[in-house]
Amino acid sequence: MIIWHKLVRDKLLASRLFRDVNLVGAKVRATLDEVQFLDIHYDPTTGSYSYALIDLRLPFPGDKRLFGWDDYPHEGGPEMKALPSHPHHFQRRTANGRWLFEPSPMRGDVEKEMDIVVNVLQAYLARERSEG
Amino acid sequence: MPSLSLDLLEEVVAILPFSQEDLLYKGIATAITERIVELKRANQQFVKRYGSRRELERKIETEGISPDDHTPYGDLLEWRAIGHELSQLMRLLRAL
Repeated sequence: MIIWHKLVRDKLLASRLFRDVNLVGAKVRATLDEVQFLDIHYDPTTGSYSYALIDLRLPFPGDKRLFGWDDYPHEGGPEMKALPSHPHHFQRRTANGRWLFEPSPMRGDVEKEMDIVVNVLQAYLARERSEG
Repeated sequence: MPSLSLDLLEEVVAILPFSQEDLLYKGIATAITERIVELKRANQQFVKRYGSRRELERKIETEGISPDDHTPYGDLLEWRAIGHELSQLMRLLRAL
């Protein structure tokens, strides 16, 4: 059986979106440029995951996540619990800095889900380019 | 194996006191050992930051994870992945 991070690296490299795709410890980091990178965390013992686009330019404190998918059931957010996919969710920063939580198709099938990550990232990059 | 690698292997075996099979095992053992060292180094960084994996799990159970900062959750996933990969590599190393 091929280890998960090899499958993920191969998929991300094949997308040709990234400058580098590296294994850092036991997470995969795919770099877009000096300030933006995708971090893929996956626990093969439980299937838990966190896939996030990090943008170091964001002015907010914390992990500088612009958007991402994970299966942590963040406490205290009623809008999180109301999601049909709870605890699986997609979260993104809105223009005013608030979090928007949306249902997520991810379930921890890390190799297959890289296709969704790549598609969403492609759409985001195309939007960024068109907005200049 | 590409013919260039096979030529090189034959040349090396002609000089060193090892068989082709010995060299293959040594290469595999080196690759596994290098990855084990890398993972143990990453593991040690988490030990310095959190004490133990159980302590990190307790911290997350007690404090939760803010949507603003998933770092402890990502670290826990990575730490478990390190443990899993290390056990696979140690099994392979013992089987050599």
